[in-house]
Amino acid sequence: MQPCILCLPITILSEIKLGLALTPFVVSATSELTGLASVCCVNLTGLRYEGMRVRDVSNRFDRFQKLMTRIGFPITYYWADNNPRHVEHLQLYCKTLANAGMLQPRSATTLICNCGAVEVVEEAINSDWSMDHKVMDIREGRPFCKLCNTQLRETRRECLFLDTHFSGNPLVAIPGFYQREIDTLQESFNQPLLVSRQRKIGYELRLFDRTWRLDTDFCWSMLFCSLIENDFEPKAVVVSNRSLKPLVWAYGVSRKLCPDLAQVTALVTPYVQFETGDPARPIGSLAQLLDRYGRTPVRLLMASGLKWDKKEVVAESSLIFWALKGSARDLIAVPSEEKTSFSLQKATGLTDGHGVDKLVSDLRKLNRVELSPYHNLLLEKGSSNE
Amino acid sequence: MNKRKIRNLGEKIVAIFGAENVECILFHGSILFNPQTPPQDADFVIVLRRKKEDDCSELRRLVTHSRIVQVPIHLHLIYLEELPVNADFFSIHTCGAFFACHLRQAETIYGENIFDKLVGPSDYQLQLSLLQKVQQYTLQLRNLVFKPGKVSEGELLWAKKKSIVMLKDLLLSSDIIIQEEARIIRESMDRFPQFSAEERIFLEKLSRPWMSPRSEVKRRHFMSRCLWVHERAYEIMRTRIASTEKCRFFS
Repeated sequence: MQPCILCLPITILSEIKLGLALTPFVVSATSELTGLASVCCVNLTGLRYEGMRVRDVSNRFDRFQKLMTRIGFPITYYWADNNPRHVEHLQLYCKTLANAGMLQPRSATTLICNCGAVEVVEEAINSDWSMDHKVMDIREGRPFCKLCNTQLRETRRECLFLDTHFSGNPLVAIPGFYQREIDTLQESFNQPLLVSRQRKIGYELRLFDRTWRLDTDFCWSMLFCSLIENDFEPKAVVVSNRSLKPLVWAYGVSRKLCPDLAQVTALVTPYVQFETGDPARPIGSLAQLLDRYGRTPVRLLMASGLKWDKKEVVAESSLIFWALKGSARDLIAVPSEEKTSFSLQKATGLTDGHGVDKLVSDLRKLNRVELSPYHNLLLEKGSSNE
Repeated sequence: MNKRKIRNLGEKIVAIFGAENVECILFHGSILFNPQTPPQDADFVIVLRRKKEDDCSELRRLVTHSRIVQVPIHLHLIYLEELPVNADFFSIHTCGAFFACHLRQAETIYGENIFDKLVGPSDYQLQLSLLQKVQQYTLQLRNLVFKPGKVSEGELLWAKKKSIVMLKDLLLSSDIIIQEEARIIRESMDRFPQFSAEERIFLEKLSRPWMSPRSEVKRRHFMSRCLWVHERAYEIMRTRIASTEKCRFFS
């Protein structure tokens, strides 16, 4: 099996923003520095794709992969939640969970909106564990769907529930200041979760003598097992600090199915916003910035945002201006000859955005700049890239 | 011209020069972005790693004997060693540094688009190269408008096409890169209030399917309207450049 670093599935929107590409960027860069294979996971099913033709979804995925190639983030393997092998295995995974008594049907009162984006169990309405909370809003004590703007209505029906209790075998967090938050999330994740849905999208499952429609988030949550099936051994996962819950959930569900799933390191990135400094001028999409400036200045901007010691970062596009000036003097950059594979901890230190800011500044001011192996990658220097 | 034919041409080029010698083959221009709009020609950029004496002759033979495409082919041959890392120093044909941005939007039919690896251009060179292009097109069109004799169909189409290119360049000078003609016109009208009501009516006409003006009077009228668009775009760019760059114009 190939040890790998991965990211949780990304939903690919029609326009790829820099913030969305940051996670695959970290996956790719850390993979290059550590020698782990890079796996970029994507969601190609779910609400965001509702009404789209299969071909259009597929084209969108193709464009995303081309964009990653254009910016120079090599990815070993793209895992998609609509991968036929994964979909085929879903039935088996659910049967395993049902046989172990962890997946059970029972009658419950659920709250559902008109468009079907929100569907929660009434008893868990105030729990922030449901993935639906990202599209739900409480207005004057009443729950609403943010998408269709309708108040949720009650229905009593037969539902499929997953028993959680995800504690034990904790994820290891880098930076360490996220460890407590992850531990707390793992320990508190101990209530039955609704995994069946009434809405028409999502995969069907035959279980307990009836057909269920599965929640799309539940379907991708077995991704660690799915990767093992594909001969990858998950060693590390890159997540934004806003995605710790989905990580704990996916790791927890996967461990129920693969008890020997090894301990995984979570590389938790800050929440990075890329801005121009002028609210009237949006920064533009990744493709637009690439077309305008080429890939090196855009990579330096993205890399600058990755300040591991912070939880929130605002990276201003003015850095591109300095990166253009600095990159134009790249003859003064002396590539690193270091060929070592680094530990995850060391690789994280190397990829720190403060170091990138210093690099850009030094390129403008100095006559000779010694590059780190990471800076080699960013500037495409060194023996492998020359 | 369909994608298969374009790929075939790419394969022929790779077969002639050898895969190890071809850095990339890019397909760009009107057929790629505006396949319904005449006049059409197939624009290619070929980047080779090594120079050989008869490269140009080989390409001439290919274009002469090629029955792969029915439209005129424009090939630009560039050697890797001629490409500056800094896009400020890049130009192709009569287009300056800004053209690196256009070529990044090209379809890569072989290899990896080398123009993604170029850095920039800087804002200064982008504005300067676009201004020079806009000056060139405006003066060319003025020559056509006062040229004696009848206006040919080719001249009408050229004027129409360049009017939209002027808008495209104007948008690029605001960091907006759009290739599809109808969108270029829409976006320009939204972004630049300087276009007069009459000019806007004419711009809307330009976005409709081509109907050649029948009488010579109408043809002359069309050419004058195109010149309006050119001059307005030039004026907008001049005003902007005068306020942001180290450039002053007589007034």
